[in-house]
Amino acid sequence: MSSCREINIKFFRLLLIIFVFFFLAGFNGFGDLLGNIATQSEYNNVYKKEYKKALKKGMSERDAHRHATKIAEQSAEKKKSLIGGIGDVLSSTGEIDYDSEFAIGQSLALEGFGRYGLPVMNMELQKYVNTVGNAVVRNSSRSDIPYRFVIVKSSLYNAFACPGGIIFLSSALVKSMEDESQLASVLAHEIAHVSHKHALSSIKRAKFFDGVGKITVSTMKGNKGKQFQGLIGNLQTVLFDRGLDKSMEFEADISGMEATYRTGYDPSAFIDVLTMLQNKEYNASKAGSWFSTHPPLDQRIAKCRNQMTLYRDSQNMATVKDRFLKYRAMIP
Amino acid sequence: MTFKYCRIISTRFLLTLLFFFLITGNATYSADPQIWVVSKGAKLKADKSATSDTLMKLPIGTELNVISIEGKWYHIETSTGTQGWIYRGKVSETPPLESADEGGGLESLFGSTIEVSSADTSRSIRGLSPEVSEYAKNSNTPVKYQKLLDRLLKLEITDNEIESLLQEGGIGEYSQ
Repeated sequence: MSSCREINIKFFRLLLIIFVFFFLAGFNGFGDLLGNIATQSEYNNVYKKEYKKALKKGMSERDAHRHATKIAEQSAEKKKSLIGGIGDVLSSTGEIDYDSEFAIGQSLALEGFGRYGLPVMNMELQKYVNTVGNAVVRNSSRSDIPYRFVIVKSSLYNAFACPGGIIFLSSALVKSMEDESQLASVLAHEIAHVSHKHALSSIKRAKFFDGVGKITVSTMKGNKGKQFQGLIGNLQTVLFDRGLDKSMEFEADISGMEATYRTGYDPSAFIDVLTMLQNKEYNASKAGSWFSTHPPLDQRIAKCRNQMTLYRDSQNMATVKDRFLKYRAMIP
Repeated sequence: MTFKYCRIISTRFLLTLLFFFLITGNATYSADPQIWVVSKGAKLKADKSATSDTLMKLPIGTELNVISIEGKWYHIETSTGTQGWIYRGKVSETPPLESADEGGGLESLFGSTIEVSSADTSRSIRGLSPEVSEYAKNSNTPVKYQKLLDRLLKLEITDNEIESLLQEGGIGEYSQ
């Protein structure tokens, strides 16, 4: 009898260990995310410094990027370990309403103009991109907010989503696309970032929202105004330099392909864009581009190919080449 | 002997548990033909064609019963008994999440949510908000940037324009 009790105790102890393991795994995942967010600034500073140093030493852009990334990651890891276990900071940020989210997005968009370039001044082209984007939005998981899409003049291959639904695409990226399904698939990826509120998860630690229910003109003044500028600065580092978490990018890839498919475009167009970027990676500028802010392309292509097994009937879906080429020609 | 007996019981318990999960999991997977509207602007059509009459507009979350599937179209019945056709891209075998906040993860852990009730659900935006103008002033952002963003935000996209784009491109329910 006592042996039986012993085994039962062992059995339930095992169950308890399994439970604790899963609990801690979840908690560590959260801790990692928090650490990543908190060390964005550290990563960015070290990256810039090391990148410049490497270039001065005569390294190619590609090698300099790799070198700087490695050193910056090591430095960020050190800092992350120092600030681990401060999860309670997140709980103090309170709720953020849509108006506040959109104000953050608009502020970032202004910074985006300074960083990447001004909008291509052809309203017919901008209207076209906005119509394609809003067609995809209908089939996204967050279709209850308005979205705006902007093509900016930039030689970098990049696209990013500001909280609240303002989405940027560089002219170089759009000029490298071949048809409308490719454009729709990239827009769908960025819409997914907004839908899943990926960038917003980065600001939950910001002290700005302590004691502030929402962003108003009065909260933009004095000390709070400075804190808001700091918040936007941190978000710039996330969106423009460091990039979002790998897992967020993979999630946006899959959600984006689903929205592309539901809209009626061939979802494999997204793989075509990633492959095109892979071909250009060697010679392209890295800093501030998709190459430095997104996970390695081969990993993403593999995951997207796996996703394509769900869309066996996609071969005859829309690609819409002619119309896209007509609008693409409007990009200077 | 007792030790061995107890081990067998524990193993059987685990196997039963596993079997239970397999059975219930399978039951969920092969559910009855129920689907939900997951896309904005979904329409119930009189026939399996985008150009046929629209019987009614179906909001996100509407539950439908599938009668049959033909190509890219589902023949369905609503809870009020209306029968019609809906394009497959507008529906899903799983109900939609009310918002991304309900997806779990950090936000559900800490109870922090984004209230979307204040969002303007039309496709027009008022333009640059006064809060952002204040930010631009504080951060010495060029006035030119503000004017450009304001202009882009005011760009209006109508549902008719989206429908025309889809129709002219033969996209989704307009595909042949």
